[in-house]
Amino acid sequence: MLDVSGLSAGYDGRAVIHDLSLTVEQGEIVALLGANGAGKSTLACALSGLLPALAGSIRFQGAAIERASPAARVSAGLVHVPEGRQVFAGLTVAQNLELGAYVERPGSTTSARMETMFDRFPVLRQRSGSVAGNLSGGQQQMLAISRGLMSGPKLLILDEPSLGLAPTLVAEVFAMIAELRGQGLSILLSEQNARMSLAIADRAYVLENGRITLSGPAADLIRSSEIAKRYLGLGAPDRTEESDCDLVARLRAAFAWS
Amino acid sequence: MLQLVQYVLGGLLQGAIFGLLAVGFSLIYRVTSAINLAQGAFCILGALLTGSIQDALGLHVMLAGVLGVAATALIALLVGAAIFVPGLSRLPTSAMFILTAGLLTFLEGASLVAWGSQSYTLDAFSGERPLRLGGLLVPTQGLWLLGIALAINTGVALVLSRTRMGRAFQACAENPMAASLMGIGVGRMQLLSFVAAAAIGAVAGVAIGPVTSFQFDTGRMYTTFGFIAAVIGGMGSPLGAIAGGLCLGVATQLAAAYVSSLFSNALALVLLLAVLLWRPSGLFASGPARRQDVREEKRVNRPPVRLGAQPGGILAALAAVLLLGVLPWWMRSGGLMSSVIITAILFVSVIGLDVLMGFTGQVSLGQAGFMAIGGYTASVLALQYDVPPLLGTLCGLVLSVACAVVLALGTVRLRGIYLAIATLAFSLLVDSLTVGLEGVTGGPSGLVGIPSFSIAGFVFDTPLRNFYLAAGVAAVVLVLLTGGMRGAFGRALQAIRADPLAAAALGVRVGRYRMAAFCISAALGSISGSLYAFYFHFLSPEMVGTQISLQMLAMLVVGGEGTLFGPLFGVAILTLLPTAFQPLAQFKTMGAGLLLVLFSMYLPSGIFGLLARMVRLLRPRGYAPAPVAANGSAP
Ligand SMILES: Nc1ncnc2c1ncn2[C@@H]1O[C@H](COP(=O)(O)OP(=O)(O)OP(=O)(O)O)[C@@H](O)[C@H]1O
Ligand SMILES: [Mg+2]
Repeated sequence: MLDVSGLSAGYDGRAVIHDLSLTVEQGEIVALLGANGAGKSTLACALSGLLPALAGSIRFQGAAIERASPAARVSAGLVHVPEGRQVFAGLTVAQNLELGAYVERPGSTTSARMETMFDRFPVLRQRSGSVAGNLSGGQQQMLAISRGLMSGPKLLILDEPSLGLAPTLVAEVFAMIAELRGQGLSILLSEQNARMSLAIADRAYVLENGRITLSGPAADLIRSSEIAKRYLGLGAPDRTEESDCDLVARLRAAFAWS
Repeated sequence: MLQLVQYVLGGLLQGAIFGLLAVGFSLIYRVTSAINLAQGAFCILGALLTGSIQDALGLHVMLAGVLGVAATALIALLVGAAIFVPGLSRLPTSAMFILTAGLLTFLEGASLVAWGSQSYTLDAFSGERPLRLGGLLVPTQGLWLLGIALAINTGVALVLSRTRMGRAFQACAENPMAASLMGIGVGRMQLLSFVAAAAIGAVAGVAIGPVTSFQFDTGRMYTTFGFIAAVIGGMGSPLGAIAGGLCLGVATQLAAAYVSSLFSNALALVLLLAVLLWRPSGLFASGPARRQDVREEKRVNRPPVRLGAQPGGILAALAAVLLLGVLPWWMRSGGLMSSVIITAILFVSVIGLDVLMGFTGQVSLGQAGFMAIGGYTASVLALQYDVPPLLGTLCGLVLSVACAVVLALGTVRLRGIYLAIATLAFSLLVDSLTVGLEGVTGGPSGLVGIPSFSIAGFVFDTPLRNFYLAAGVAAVVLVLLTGGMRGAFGRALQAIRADPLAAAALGVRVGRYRMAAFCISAALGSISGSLYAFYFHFLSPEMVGTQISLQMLAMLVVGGEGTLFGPLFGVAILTLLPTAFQPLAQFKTMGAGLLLVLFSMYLPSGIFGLLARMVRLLRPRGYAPAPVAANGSAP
C-alpha cells in the first residue's frame, strides 16, 4: 500500500531523515518508534507532502506521489493527523469535522460520518457547537483524530495520537486504532508510548537520528532486549500472542502500568 | 435640516467608499490572517490604468474600467505569486506588515515613474449631472458607489459564510498547515484572495476616481481609511466593513461640515482608538469569543542577529568613526556633504525605530509623525517666540513623548498590527495638522527662515559644524543605547520580542517596557526632526510625512533590525544613492520599496547580518558553534 524507498527529507534543504525505506501493507498497523528528535514527525510530514522529499520515492497504492501536493495525497486517501492537535481553533467542532471531509470521497456522506465520530467520542457531540480552541487539550486531540477520519482515508498517519490524553483515554485511542484496522484501514503510528504501540502494531520500525536502525514484527521487537532497554524501561516483559479483543480489554486497564 | 440630510447623504457616499476599500482587507485577513497594506495601491493602480486605457482606446469609462481592473488583477497575480504568498509561508506576522508596506511603497514608486506626480480624475459612470430628489442633490456616481459597495460586500460575505470555499478560506487563516492536511490548496487560496482583493480594490479605485482626484501616492490614504473602516466594523467581516465604513463616513463628513475638515481626520483616528479600546474585535463582529488568538503565537519573531563576539562590532564602529572623521574634510561641502548630514540626522530617528521594532518586535508606521512634532515645535518656538533651539528641541521632545504615552496607553493592550495602524493613523493625523494649521505651521508651503542650531551662542551654521552636530548626536545616542541594550533593560525587551506571553510569565512588565521603548523611539524621532529643521532652515509637511515613515522602515530593514548600528547602512544607502546618481531620483520611492521587499524576504537580517556572517566566516573555525554537535548530543 505505502512503499517508501531511499527517502530523505528535512528543513531548508538540510536533511533530517536520510535514505529511509519502509512499507505499510493493507490493513496493517505499523509502529514508528524513536527518541525525541529522531525524525518521526519529519517523516510523517514528508509522507503527507508538508515537507518536500529531497531524495527517494514514495509510492502509494502503486502510484508515485513524492511530487504530489498534500491535497492530491489526501484525495488519494493518505491522511496525516499531525502532532500537537492543530485544530482550527476559531471554528466550531462541527465545522472542524466538516473540513476534515473537504476532499469528498465516495462512501458515506459527511453527516453520517460525523455521527460515527460523535458515537465514538460522545464529548464531541456535546461540544459540537463550541469553538474548537475552547476545548480542553484532550478533547482537541479527539477532535483531531476524528477530523482525520472524516475523509474516509485508506492510510492514516497518526503522529502521537495519545499526547496529552488521560490514561483511560489513551487506552481508548489505542483500542480505536486497533478497531480501525479491523475496518481495513492501514495505519502508520508514531508514538512515544512504545509498549502500547507495540502491543497493537503488526510491525514496527525504530528510528534513530533519521535512520531506521531496527525493524521487524512487533511481537519480536517487544521481546528484543535492545528495545526493552531503550524504550520500555529495563527488563523486557514477556508477551504472548493475544487477540484484539483481549488486547482492547487489557488496554482499557493499561494506565495502571503505563 | 435639509442641510443635515445632505451632509448625512454625503457621509453615506463617503462611507460606501470606505466600506469598499475595507472589504479587500477583510477578505485577505480571512484567508491569511495578514494585513495587506498594499491594498490601497491596487485601488490607485486600477484607477490609473483605467484612465490610461480610456485615453489610449477612447472607450467609455466603464468599459475601460473593466480592462483596468483585469490588468490590475494580472499585476496582482504576479505580485502575489512572487512575493505575497511566498512571504506568508516564511515570515512572521509583523514582518508581513513590513513586506506589504514595502509593496505599497514599491507600487507607489512604480506609479510615480509611469504616471508622474500630477493628479488625475476619471469620468463619472453616467454623466456629471446630479439627480435632484426633493431639495437634495445626489451625484449619480454616489449611487453607483453605494450600489457597487453593497453588491461587492454582500457578495464577499456570502461567499465567505455560505460556500465550501469560504470555509476553506477560514481554515487557511486559522491553521495553514492543518488546512493543507485537509486537502485544501492553501497557497492557491491565498493567491486567490490576494488577487480577488486587488481586483475589488481596483473596482473601488475606478468607482472613486470620478469623485475625488488621485495621484500615485493616494493609495496610502485608501489603505489607512479602508483599514480603519475594517477595524471599526470588525476585521475579517465584509458586512462589518460596510457598516464600519458607513459609520466612519457619516461621522467624518458631519465633523468636516460642522467643525472643520481638519477635525475629520482627527475624528477618524479617535474613532479608531475608541473602538480598539472598547471592542477590539470591532463593532459588528459576531462570532464566538475565543480563548486566545492562536494565529498570533503561530508565527514567532525570529531572533535578531548578533555579532558573535564584540571585537567585530567594535572594529566596525571604529572604522565608521574614522571614516566619518575623514569624510567631511574630504568633501567639505556640496550635495554629497548635505546627504551625509541628512544620513546622520535620519539615523538618529531610525535608531529610535530600531529600539521599538528590533527590540520589542512592534511595528511603527508613524515615526515621521514624531519628527514632525519635534521639527515643528522647535521651529515655531524659534520663529515666533525666539526660544533658543536647544530649549525648543527639548520642548518638542517633551511633546512627542507625551503623544507617545497617550498613543501607547491606548494601544498597549493591543496586538502588533493594531499598534502599527494606530501609528500610521497618528502620522496621517500629524500630516493633516501640519498642512491644515496654516496659521502656525505655514500650511503646505511650510516654514521658512528657521535659524541654525546653536548652543550658548555657538552657532552651527556651516556644513562642517552641522555634520559634527548630527554625527555627534548620533554617536552619543548610539553609545548610550548600545550600553543600555546590553543590560537588564535590553534583555527584557528581547524577551518581549521573542515571546510576550512567556516574558510576562517570567515577571517582565511587558506593558511598561513597551511603553518605554515607544517613548525612546518617539524622543529620538523628535530630536531628529528638530535637527532636520535647524539644518534645512526650512520645514514642510512632506519632509516629515508618512512617506518618510515608510522610507525609514525600509532603511531599518535594509540595514538590519535589532542591531542599533546596522540601520546606518540602510539610511546611508537610501539617502546617498539617489544623491550620487541624480537621474535615479525619480526611482527613489520604487527602489526603497523594492529593497524593503527583497530584504524582508531574502535577507531579513539586513546588511548588518550579511556583514556579521562575513566576519564570522573570516574568523578561525573554532569560534563558530558547530551545528553537528547539537544534533549528535541527542540520546
Ligand atoms: N521546523 C524545523 N526546522 C528545522 N529543524 C527542525 C524543524 N522541526 C524539527 N526539526 C529538527 O528535526 C529533527 C527531527 O524532528 P522531529 O520533529 O521529526 O522529531 P520527532 O521524532 O517527531 O520527535 P518527538 O518525539 O519529540 O516528536 C530534530 O532534530 C529537530 O530539531
Ligand atoms: Mg514528533
